[in-house]
Amino acid sequence: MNTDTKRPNWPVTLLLILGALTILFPLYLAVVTALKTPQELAASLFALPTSFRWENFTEAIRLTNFFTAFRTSALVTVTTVVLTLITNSLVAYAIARNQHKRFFRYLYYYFISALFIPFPIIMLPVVKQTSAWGMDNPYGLIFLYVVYGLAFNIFVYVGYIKSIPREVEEAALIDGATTWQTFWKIIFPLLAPMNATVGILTCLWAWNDFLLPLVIISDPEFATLPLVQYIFQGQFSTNYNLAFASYLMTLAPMVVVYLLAQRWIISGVTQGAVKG
Amino acid sequence: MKHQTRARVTLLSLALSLLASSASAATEIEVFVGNKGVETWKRLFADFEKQNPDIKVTLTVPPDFVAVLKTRIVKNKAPDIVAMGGDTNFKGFADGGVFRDYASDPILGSVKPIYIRQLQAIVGGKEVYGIPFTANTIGLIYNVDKLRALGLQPPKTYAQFIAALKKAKAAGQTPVTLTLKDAWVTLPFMNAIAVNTVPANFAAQKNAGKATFQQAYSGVADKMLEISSYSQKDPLGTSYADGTAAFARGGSVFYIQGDWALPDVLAANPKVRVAMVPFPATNGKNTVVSSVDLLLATSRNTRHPAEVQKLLQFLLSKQNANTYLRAVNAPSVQVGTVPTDPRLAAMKASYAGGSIAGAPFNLFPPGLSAETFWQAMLQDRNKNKALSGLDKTWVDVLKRSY
Repeated sequence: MNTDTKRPNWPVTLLLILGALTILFPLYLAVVTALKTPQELAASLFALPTSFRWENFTEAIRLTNFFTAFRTSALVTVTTVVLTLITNSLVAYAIARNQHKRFFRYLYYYFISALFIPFPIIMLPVVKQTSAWGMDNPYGLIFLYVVYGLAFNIFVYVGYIKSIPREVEEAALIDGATTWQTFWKIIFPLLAPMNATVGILTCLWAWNDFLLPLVIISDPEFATLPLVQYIFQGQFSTNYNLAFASYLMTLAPMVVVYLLAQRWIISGVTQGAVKG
Repeated sequence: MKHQTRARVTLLSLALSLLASSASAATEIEVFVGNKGVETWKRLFADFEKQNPDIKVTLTVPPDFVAVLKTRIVKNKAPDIVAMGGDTNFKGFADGGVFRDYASDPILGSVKPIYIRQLQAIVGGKEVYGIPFTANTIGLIYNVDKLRALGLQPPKTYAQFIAALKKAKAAGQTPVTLTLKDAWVTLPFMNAIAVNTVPANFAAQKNAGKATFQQAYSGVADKMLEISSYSQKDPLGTSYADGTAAFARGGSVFYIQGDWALPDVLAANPKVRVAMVPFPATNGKNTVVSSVDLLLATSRNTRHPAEVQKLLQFLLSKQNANTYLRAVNAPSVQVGTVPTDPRLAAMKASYAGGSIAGAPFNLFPPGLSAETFWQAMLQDRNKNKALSGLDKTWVDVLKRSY
């Protein structure tokens, strides 16, 4: 410690302020736009509204059928995250502990190779197939998310599982644990930091995704939140006031998820940082 | 273990609750519409269901109309009725054999023949794959008070238009707002001029290799360049939404747009007095661009043709069609009508005298993206590059689609 560190580092602070502004400014615009009338918006983009127009929110809720879409989005996201965490980690465990066998090694590269396939290329066959199998609904969507997540999730899970010493498992084996028990009681809890990472990424992806629900879901009753946002865009013009009110309501749950999960990520990182 | 089971049961019941959609005995017809006038569609369909309790109309407003319609066709779940624009997307679906042909159906009897011919020209054949429902119109929008303050009459000829632009500029005003950040804006601009200066058979001639943009559209490009030199400072940085709001606040004297911009202008400033005149593209008599804004097409494979026909007849009845027209503020396509919007009063004569024509752009092949060439031309002011680019891309696009 020397006294120099007490002085604020002005260049860095300034950069941080600029960085924060690039995020806060659009957020400010989103909030004030959501609370204005179209006339106020046309008069000035940046000014504060003269009176808060909460009707924008109620109107947006009515137009988008918000709660129906919210229920579908929540069902899809929660189920996807839970299933992804359970199944993808299992697959990764099987692969990571059997990489000396050719079959599992190939399986690993087979899954990873999916990372390099852009979605639009497989879009049409997937649409056709899901429809033929009666999966053009939220359940088909959940299934697809869990499967599409495999490529990336296996990549990160396998790398992490390899860093867990085998001796831990051997000790469990000697104590009479089966492979199943070893995974659930030993490995899965040790995967906590990875589970947090995969869970958060999957959650954001499933909640925000537009393209997959757009092409998969046939019944408008099952539209997810990103799909219903489009109601505000006319052929040429957008009702920005209602749109931003609706966007704010749509992104709020993800902000809450982030605030809650942030603790986990940080604790996960620090857990690995100090050797105990 | 116990709470795991409970969690599983909760998940399952959540899943089942979603599956439990109502199964009623009524015949269900699905209608795809765009984002315009959705509330009015709802009201009309509710009326229809009241009159026909055995038919249920499901209204779908897809987030991305063309993409969703394509996926539905792939899934063999095409909607029974589609309300869409008479544009190149329509041509794509019609070419693909998705829609029913109405050429010999008396239901077309109430529609002005010019709009029917437009749909035939777009697809290229005798078949009529949609029933025109509403029209749009392109013209020169002006700020009534600002024009009067300059001591000018709405221009009737190109020479008068340029003189008015000059006078506005000399008076220290912005003569015309252009919103070139959105490339599509160049299309109404181009259409309004081309309909008067380019032969109507240009697209057919071009397909046959007997015409070129460099020759036929040279005059159009010159006029676009001349008019654009009177725009506000940063036309390429102005989007349609920003430009419309700026014009509504009195930012300029003129605005080049279709009638669809009027509701947006008034939303930004309900007090502004604006009106539209036929676009003064030449020094002679000017034809007005009026295209099919919305048409009703039906799926060729619909399982309920009788019910679909019933709904079409309901929607096309004078009273119901007018309900929709009034709601979206669009000109009618029906025989013997002229625009009723007082702001379009100056356009009435063109409609009554039949000097209206479809947008030339609608006959361009899908995938040409003419708007990007015009946008680039108005940026770098390189006319030859744009026109030769259009010539070359047109040929490439044709090769791609055959």
